[in-house]
Amino acid sequence: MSQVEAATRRWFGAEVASVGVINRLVMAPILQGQRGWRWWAVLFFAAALSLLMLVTAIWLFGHGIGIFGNNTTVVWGFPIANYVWWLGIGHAGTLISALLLITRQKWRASLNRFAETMTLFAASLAGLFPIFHLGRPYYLYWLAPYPNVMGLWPQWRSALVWDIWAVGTYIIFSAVFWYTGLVPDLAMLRDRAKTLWVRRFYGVFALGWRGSARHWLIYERFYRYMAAMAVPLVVSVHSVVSLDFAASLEPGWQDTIYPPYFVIGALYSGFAMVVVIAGILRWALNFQAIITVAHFEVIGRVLLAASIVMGVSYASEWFWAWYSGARAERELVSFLFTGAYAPLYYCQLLFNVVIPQSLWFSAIRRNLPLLMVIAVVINIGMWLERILLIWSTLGRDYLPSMWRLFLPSLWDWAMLLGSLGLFLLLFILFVRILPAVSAHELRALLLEGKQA
Amino acid sequence: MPPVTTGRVGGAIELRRREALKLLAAGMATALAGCGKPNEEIIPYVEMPERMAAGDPLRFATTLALSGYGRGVLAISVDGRPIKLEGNPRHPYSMGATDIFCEATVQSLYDPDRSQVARRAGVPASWDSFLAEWNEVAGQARTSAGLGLVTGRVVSPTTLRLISELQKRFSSLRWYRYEPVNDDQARTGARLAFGRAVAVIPRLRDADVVVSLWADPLGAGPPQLRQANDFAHRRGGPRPQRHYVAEPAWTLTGAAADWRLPARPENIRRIASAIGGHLGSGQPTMAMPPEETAFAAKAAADLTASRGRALVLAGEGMPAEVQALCHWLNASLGAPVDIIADPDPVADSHADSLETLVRDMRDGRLSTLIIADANPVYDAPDDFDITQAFAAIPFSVHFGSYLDETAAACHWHLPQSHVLESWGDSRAVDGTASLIQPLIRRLYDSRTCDEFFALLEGVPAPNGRELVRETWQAKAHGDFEAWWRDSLERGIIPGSAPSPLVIAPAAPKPSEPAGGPASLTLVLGPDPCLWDGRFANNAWLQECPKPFTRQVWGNAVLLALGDADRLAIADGDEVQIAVGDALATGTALRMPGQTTGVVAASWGSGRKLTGEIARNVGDRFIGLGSRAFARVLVQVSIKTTGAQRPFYSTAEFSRLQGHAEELFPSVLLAAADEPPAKESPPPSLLGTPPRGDYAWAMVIDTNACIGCSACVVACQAENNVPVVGPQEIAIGRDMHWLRIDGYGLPGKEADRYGFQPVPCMHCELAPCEPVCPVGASIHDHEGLNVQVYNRCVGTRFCEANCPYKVRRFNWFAYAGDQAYANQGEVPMKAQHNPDVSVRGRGVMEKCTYCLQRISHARRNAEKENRPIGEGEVVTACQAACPTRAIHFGDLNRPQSEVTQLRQSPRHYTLWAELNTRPRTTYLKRVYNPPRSKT
Amino acid sequence: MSEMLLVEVSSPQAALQAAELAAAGGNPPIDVLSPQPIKGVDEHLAPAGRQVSVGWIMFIAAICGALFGYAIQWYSAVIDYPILSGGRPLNAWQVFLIVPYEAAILFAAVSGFVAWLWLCRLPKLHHPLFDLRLVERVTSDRYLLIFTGSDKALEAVTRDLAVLKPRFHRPPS
Repeated sequence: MSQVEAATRRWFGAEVASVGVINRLVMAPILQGQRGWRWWAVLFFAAALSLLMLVTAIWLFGHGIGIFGNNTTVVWGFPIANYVWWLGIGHAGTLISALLLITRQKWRASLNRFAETMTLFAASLAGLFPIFHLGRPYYLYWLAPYPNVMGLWPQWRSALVWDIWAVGTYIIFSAVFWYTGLVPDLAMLRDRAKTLWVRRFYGVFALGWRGSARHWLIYERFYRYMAAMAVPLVVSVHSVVSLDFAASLEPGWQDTIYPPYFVIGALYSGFAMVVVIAGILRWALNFQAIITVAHFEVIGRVLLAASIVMGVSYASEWFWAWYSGARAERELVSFLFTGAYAPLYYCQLLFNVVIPQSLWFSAIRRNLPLLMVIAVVINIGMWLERILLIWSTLGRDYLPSMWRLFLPSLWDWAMLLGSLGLFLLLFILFVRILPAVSAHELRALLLEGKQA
Repeated sequence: MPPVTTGRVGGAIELRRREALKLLAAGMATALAGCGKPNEEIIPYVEMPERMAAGDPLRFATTLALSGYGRGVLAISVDGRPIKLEGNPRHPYSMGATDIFCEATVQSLYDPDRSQVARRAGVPASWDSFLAEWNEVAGQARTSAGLGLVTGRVVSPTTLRLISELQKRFSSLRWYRYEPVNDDQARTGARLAFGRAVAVIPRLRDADVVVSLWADPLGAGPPQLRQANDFAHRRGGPRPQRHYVAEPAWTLTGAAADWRLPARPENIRRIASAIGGHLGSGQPTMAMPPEETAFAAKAAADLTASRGRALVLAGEGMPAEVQALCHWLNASLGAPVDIIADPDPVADSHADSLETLVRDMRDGRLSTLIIADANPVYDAPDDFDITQAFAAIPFSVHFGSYLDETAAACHWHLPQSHVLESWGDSRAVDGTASLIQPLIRRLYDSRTCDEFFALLEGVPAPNGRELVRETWQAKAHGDFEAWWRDSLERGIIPGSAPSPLVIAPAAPKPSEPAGGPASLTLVLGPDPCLWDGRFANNAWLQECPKPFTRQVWGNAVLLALGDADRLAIADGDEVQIAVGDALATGTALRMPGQTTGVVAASWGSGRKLTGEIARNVGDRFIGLGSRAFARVLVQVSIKTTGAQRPFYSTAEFSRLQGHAEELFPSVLLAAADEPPAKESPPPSLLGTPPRGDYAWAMVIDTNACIGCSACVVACQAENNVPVVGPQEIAIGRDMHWLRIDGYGLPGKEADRYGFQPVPCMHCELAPCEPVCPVGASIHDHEGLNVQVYNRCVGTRFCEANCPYKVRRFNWFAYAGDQAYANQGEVPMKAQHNPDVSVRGRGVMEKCTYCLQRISHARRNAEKENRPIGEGEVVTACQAACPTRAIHFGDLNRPQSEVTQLRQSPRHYTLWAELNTRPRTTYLKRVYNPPRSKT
Repeated sequence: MSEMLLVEVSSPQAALQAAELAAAGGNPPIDVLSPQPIKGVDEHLAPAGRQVSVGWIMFIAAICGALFGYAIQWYSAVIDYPILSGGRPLNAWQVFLIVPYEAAILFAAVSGFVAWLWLCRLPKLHHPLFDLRLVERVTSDRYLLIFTGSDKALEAVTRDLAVLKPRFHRPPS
């Protein structure tokens, strides 16, 4: 067995002898998948949570932003934290699919499809939260530049306007990228569909793709250029999000480290989420052969690296607070360690920095259940990081007479859980309608090995 | 209004409100239809300008009484709606300023909970049916004994005249008059010293050294405005005063002191006699702690050193003999005091009046009882069991503004007109008389106190205006109409103040304070915001943060740190206070700087009836003790019940130790004039923004600020700032555009405290502006940081990025259909200032430097095409301030006051290093302690 | 009169070889249908008309996007609606760079997608080839070379490719 083949075989289970196997595995959940009671149970559960989110949104628009726990000092709360968190999760998808494509990482092929899907869903969910957060959500469009009788324009110096452009671009971009990659698989679904209507359904979205060599040529160019743009885009998006904080005057926010710190944080939570989803898909859709332990092993390394960067970022915050000698900054840091939220802060450090250090051991990286638990813990830790970022700085800034704590209301929690439910709902519908891994790219990878 | 179902904003009281509305719909409708100028001619403060357009505000001078004593105000009225009250510069007990009670009066005028119809046994009835019943009763009453009349303190000439006429008509009439917040000790002391009923009025303005023995001249009360003005006059002046204050618990005067000594009441008495001893009054010097001794010695020395300009003041907590001693001391020091015949004609003490009343009720001496504008059921100690006594009265009538505890105990309730609906007259503390003219036609079928008495007397349809004119026709000389017009115009009656008496006090008798073991002592007094409880239904006052605690919607049991630790009591614990067998529960709060062994609480809270606002807010402590209105209760025991109480406060920390160095710097008088390191703004890449024709700026003198909160309520009244209610406060939401931060000074928390009013800083490089995505927070060309409400989408980025956290967000429609309790009801809307938009849900708002006043001044200036002059724009907070601590003006004028003050060595900027370049800046607090203390 | 010949093979290598042989024989396939791209096969295809590069289209679009992004900010903040905001200059170019950056990527992505479809003449929901059942497998595991030309030419192709033992189809024209 040649070196190249070994390099590719590594990412496949033994039973993957031919492209036929791949096609069968990928198509199985869609074309002859029988929905068991488990699937229905999850669907129901997810739908219920999504309904909760809907109800919360209706209640919110009916009664006003006051239903959340925000107060005069801590004017931001859950919606902003959820926004940053969801958007961060989205980032891993783009990075996996784009960065790994450019750097020719073979293990990309079996992950990129559902990772991109995760990006699309997460980013769209994230996009909802700034709307929920507004005092007058029905005027959201005032942030967009459009000619109007009032003769008014957006105020371009505001980080929130930058957000609109960054996140908007990101969502549209991800959708295009995701759909482009999907077309060849849609064509396969069209051609393998049993009934006429299924055939027509996929046929419409396959746009008449027939795998012509001339098309493949343009397709691959376009796809690579997109990948090349995706990387700077994804870096810019969370950098811009970080400017919501860094471009302020508040202690603990106005740090130059914020953009990279946010981007790594995003990648971190995103990869953690990928682990969770991959683990579930692998089990639920019998993808053991195409999502292998090797995949988890390598993601484990990424998580480890990211966790170290996070640790350094936290430490640098403490250091600069001390080194700058700025009273507000120092008070903030001491509040983090001794204040009302200290237990949460210690959890954050434990979840994001300490626990992931166990990934130094490949035994743990290769132990799927354990890895997934760690991934969930990291996601919780990252959410804590985002909420504490808001609570501590706003609640403890320059004038002590306005120092206040934040008491979440039930609606705050309802909105957060609801969004998780909606994410789950979208995902389990997705795996039943579209191939959760990219068949044509897997085939290419397999044949690349055989060829050599 | 539709129910607010969040359960946060007034949801709970929905049902009751419905019923009330149903019941009073008719009255309300007519009331608002009839909302307009009174029928009789009322005289504006200034001559009406030519071609006055509808909507232009007019000012009318009138008088507001607090515990009987008048304070002159100018009521701003728009189209027959009074919307704001300001001080009357011509009135000696306003000096152009207002206190929180004046400012909040418009709120109470439009209070939907005000009593609106006469009621018999709680059922709506008519005045006529009352009069019919009264005439029978009166028939017997004239012959038989047993007719009682209860009032508060009465100094109004007209009311006094009518009462004496009542007494003529009903020979057997017994008149009981009492005020919960009274001057019994002072009066008795004065009688002890001078042998007759006189009022002694200190002239703070003329004193170099003031020793306050638990006296609170700067605290809330009828003389506050005058004395604060005098105080500020000296504080800013060339020869600053030195204040010695010995007090068991914090008072505003204590916070302003140069040397404040926390001391137990009996020790303060010892200090008094020690000072007496030093000045040769022959008082025995008694054993007391070293601090007290040092304090007394130093104070005595300072007093003697500045004879003729030294003053000793004793508070109501001090017994009569100490008061007498102080009179003697002042006499021997040649202290600046005026002695006048007591404006209050009733000889016996307030406490006695109430006690006699209850005794007479019990003993069946009273068959008929008329209670006018008093609330004995709430005021009387529990021991008196007054409700029982009421049961024994065959015919009882309550005349007042609310269906309060006493109204519930009486057969009849009759609605009293609001002062802004009334004709009348009053006297100030120094006896200066002034007239009361109505600003608005009566909203409901009510009567003024004078009219009510006239009715009782049998006058068919008395007219308040005529009653007052009758009184003065006799007194006024010359052309009465001219005199009348003139008096209404000026708001005072010239030459009506009694001339000072020249009498010497008798030598004081030696007195030994009741010794015994130093027990836990409870000190009581009026609430800084609710007074004796008569303002309890005023939402502005309930939500006005109390000095020192920033507490709203309730009162607290304040404990010294030492005691709290000893008794293991934490903030928010429910505690039970036992005095004898009287019990009261309250919410505990630890208070640095309070004397160990002293527990402090206030009257005025814990109302059971009245209205939605007052009902069951806070706890009632006025019922404690066996003697009415006792301010010191000894042998008190206090313990936690184990329960926790919500503690509503607008600040997590009521006092900010360890921050004062930067945020509230202070200097010693000696060093006050040394110019500090020149404070030049840090460099900025952005350069200085362009300046327009005007550059508005504010300078606040923390040295003059006494923390009275008048500015806070004034701002609320002027700018339609809504009330949010306790539930919202509990979450940490409030709407005040102007707050007063309190700082315990470094290392001296025990005896030093400073106030710092914080409005919007109107930064030249405002952090709130560039972060707004829609340009709702922008800068105008006169340097104002303005908020465009209808452009705001509510991202709240501006508040997040505001280092001073001065912006306020409408989480709900506080001013609309989600208003707290009755705040959204129809009459309330009539109070709104038409020049200020009422903000809706989901928008940010903040201090505008009273933009509407600036534009008003600009309109006037442009009419005469001239620039706006210095002092032509006066912000609401500035106008209210009794110590003139707030200065506002144009930085473009080199000569303007603000430009000058910014050169002062005391000038400093809040968080200057952030380079926000605030337009609102401060002057440092100055301390002038005696040498040994420095 | 032009006929059509379809050559079906089952591996990318075979497809590549077939294309090479045919091209060497002077009859390059007009197109090759495959489930995934075959590296280098396009070199052996019959020459088609010069085509615009998708890359250039995306690049131009990116430039336009950036210009648009800056222009709209500059016009609205400096010309049409100048407001004082925190003492910042009207033309705050430092922060005005962010929107152009994002706009460039947005424009490039969308126009690239459109360009791809346009260059491929997609969407084209029906294509004559779809009438042939055997085309159904070229999206999963079969490879199809398409030749057109005169009978003679196609015979030549059949001869050249015989070595690979593919399956030949002559759809009825």
